[in-house]
Amino acid sequence: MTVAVTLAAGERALVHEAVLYDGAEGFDVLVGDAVRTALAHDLPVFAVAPPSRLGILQDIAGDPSPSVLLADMSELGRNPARTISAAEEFFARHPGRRGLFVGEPLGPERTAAERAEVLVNEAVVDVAFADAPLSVVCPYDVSLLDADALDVATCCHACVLDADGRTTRHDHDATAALAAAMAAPLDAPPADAATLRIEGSLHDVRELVRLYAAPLLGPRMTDLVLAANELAANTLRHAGGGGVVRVWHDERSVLCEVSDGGRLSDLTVGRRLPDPEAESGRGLWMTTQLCDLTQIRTDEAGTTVRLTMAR
Amino acid sequence: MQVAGLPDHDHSCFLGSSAPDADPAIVAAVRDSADRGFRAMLVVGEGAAAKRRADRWHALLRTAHAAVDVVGAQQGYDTREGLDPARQVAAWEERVAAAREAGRDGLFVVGDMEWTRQADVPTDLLLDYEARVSELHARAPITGICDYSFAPPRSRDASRAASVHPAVRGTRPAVARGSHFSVSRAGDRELRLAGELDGTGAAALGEALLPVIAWHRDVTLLVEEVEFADIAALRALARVGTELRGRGHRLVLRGPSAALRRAIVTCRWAGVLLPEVA
Repeated sequence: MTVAVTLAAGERALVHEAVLYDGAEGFDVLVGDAVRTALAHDLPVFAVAPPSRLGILQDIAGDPSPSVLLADMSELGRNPARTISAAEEFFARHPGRRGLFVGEPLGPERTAAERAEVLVNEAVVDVAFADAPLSVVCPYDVSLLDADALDVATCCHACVLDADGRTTRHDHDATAALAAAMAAPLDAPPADAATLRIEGSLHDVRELVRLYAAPLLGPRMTDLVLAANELAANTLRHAGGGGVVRVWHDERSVLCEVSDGGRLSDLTVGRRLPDPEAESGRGLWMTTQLCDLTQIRTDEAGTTVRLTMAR
Repeated sequence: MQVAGLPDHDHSCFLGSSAPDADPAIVAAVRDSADRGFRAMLVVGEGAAAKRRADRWHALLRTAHAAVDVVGAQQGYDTREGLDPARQVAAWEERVAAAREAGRDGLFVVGDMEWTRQADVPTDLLLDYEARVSELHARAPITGICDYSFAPPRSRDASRAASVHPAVRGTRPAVARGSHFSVSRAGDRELRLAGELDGTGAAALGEALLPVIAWHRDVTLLVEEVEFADIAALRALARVGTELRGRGHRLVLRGPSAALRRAIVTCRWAGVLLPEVA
């Protein structure tokens, strides 16, 4: 298996591999093998997996150790964009060492919008960790996922290990894949969305979101208000104003988006850990920490960031 | 170094025209210093108005049965060549040492700062001097009240001078006010923040907060009335907290709401702003 081999060999480059496994037993064999190999070589392991797979990893990891961090995908990865900065934070504590990052991002419960973000996330992994001595394993359960979901798995990895243990490789331009994913249009918001032009007052933006979301979200409204404030602040700071904020809801969620004429130069922003000394870059990242989904789209026509909070 | 037993108002700025003895805290400071065996020193400015102020202070010092050394501003501050902050602070250190050699436990000073207006001392130089004095007060047994109660046109300077003192007596000046937030002096070493702190007011907030670094003390921000704070505002707080920590002091947030705490923790600024949860 590719990852296990690179871990054992002390490979210095990034290896990013999709692992298509079949149920718990397949997970234990294919993913568990990578974790066992990493632990045998005393390498740091960060794994984010659904609750049904966490137990397997805990059994393999044994006693708690600062070199192993296991997290629940349904919590940390509820917004899939959070996992990358969490991984950066973890591996920063183990500098100069090869590490294993396991992230199972896609379960059958993911919405179409979330699936699209998983696709973006996989591309960001390639760009963000391009120079990192990291082995990234992305397990996908073929017993639970439909063909479309498995297409996501295979299209965004240069290396795919299938359930029968066969490895397939194909050419993969991560930068182009990320640019394409970030330019893919979002569904248009409904015509009756509450809409406000951003004209200098962040207070007005907050009031709009607060009044709209309070009856639908309860206490979580404050997170959406803060996240929307950060998006509007970015519009004022980086796009020279002229943005629009829209809020609406459906049966499952409250959605809020900010659009403006600016264009993001860094397509990984919001998903990576911000520089603590930097004056900017924390706002978008904050939205991924606070919201259930953050969709960022940017091209020459402008930038739209859409936030989703489950009701 | 914080000197054990010094009163909380060890470096105070006095503003306004009310009689000093109207402020019980000043009376307490005077009595406390006398009780501790501090040597008392009154630096008197020039002119009739300064004389009237000096008479009030002198009477107050005498109510504490303190023996008072009365000197003119020219002697007390060596005003002939303007204000040299480093030299002046060194002079205070020598006077503290002299008081201790004379068997006293420290020095209590009331200084009339009117002369800085008459000599047109640049504001930045004045703020630098007061910041150095705060630092001296944090490590040496000296308690002082700087009387900035003179009238405009230098009232803005007096207000700025107040911002670099850990404590303010008399009239507390407004610190900063935006369309949806305010910053005001609360108690000694305390500022009260209220309203909604966001990026549009972050520059004003930062400007209002930065002088507390010159207090050379732990600083408390009362934030019970903060209804909202965004990243730009939290960054301004974190910057002050980091600066204070670099000087061996702490920024304490008292009464943060659950939402504010969550925002701080999520931003990874708990280590600076909420060390108890970091």
